[in-house]
Amino acid sequence: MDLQELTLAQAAAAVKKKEVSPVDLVKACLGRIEAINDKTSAYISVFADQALKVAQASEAMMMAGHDMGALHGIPLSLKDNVSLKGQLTTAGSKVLADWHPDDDATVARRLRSAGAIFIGKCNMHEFAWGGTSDNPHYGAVRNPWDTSKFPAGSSGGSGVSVAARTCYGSIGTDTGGSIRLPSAVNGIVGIRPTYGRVSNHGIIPLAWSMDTAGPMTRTVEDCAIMFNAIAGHDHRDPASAQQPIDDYTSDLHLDLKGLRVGVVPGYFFSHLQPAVHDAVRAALTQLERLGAVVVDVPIANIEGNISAQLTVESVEPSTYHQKWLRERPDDYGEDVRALLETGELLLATHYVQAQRYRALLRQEFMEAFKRVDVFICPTLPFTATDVGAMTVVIEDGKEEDMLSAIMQFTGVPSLTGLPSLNVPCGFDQQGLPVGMQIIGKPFDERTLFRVGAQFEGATEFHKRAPQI
Amino acid sequence: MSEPAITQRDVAVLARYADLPLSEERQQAILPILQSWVPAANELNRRMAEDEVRGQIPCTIFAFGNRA
Repeated sequence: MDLQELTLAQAAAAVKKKEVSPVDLVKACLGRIEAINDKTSAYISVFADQALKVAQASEAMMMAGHDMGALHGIPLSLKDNVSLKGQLTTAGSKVLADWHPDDDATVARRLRSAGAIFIGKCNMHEFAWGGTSDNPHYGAVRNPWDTSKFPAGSSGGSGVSVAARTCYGSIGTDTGGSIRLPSAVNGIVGIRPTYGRVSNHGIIPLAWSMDTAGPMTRTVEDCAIMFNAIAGHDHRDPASAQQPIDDYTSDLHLDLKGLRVGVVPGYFFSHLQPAVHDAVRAALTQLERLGAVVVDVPIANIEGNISAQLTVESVEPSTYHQKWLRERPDDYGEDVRALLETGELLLATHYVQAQRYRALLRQEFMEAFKRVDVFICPTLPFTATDVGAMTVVIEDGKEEDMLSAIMQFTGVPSLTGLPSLNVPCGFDQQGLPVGMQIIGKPFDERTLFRVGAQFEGATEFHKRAPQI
Repeated sequence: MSEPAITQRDVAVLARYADLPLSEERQQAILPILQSWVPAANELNRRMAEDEVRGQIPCTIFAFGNRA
């Protein structure tokens, strides 16, 4: 049995049947980390000794008939802005280079309660304020499909940790796209939940009104299993939703006959690299073969979403960082420092107009959801670009600013609070992954997982592994 | 509508209002970002100031009761 090629679901089942020991899973993961971390800088901290001890205890409990839950004995990684009690939690920064929280983040606590074993903390874009994971303090994270390419971000280390088979899943965070983007360019599954569906307690914030946390995994089923463990109200997060949770694995097997898929004409398939255009168009055709119906649905005010996202996503972090930015500005990397300084100088009217725009955009999407069940678009308009690049060419040979380009499609769910799932849907001519984004109604993650699972069942993109 | 380009002096004035110490080097570093972002933000301001959306309230309000 190749332990690295088991999915989370398969590994969990094997542990419960006592066919595989958690100790063997952890050893296999640690071996992979040792093999790839120098080439990818995916991890900031690795808990080898602790993970093995926990695995031994986990094995003993299972042998004694004490099953902790769906994730019993499963090694997972966490993005390094997620607090873990007593463990170094840096948020990819020099500012927090020596910080050891005195409590777990709620997502970590819930994963522990389900039996998960934490194998390490993942590198990321500094303070999650960026989309490349080019970290000046802990090393530039590199894509396992081609280590000269970036893994996107800000949850780049988490994306690499999953794609490179060093763990069975990771927790990332997503404000402007930071789960979905690295999921797309690393060829894995990742979900940005409905705002408020998963607790942000114990996670270093970026922009309070847009921050979310969610799983990143190799398959949709794995993602749904992890989501079951973390979703739900948390009284310690003031923005936590009271909406009852679902069983997010319950609809994975349901077919897509009659499912209505919306596409925003003139936006979702404009301004793309050809490989991305072709892969996502082919994915829509595949969904039609599975019984879905694709419908054009205009959204009157979709243009303007990038400016609104930049305004909100820069002003809110700038307020969180005001004290540090004045007391220790040189401890920030240049790109994050410049963005934080910029956010201080936008006007209050810019910020409030952006918040009014968000409400307007949300209303337009909620109206559109009377006609469709989900929207589908590319997750980003290009495949992985070179590490260190600040610009990207999408079409006509024109170089564009990386930050604005990368959030072309991820901004819609970020601004509106809607859930969205990235699913691998192809590769470009260099073998670099392409992802599609499935956007759903509030609290309808179950339908996102259903669409993703049915697409996965009819394709093989998720089975390909990087040769690193 | 074309707007005059933001200047380094503008950045210095804004930073002083914001009580943000910015050296000339830092002013030069963030000037291109503001020159890129502010026109689009002002365009969004104009859009959201139009009569047809005057009644639109921002999403950052207290919402008691059901959350959806």
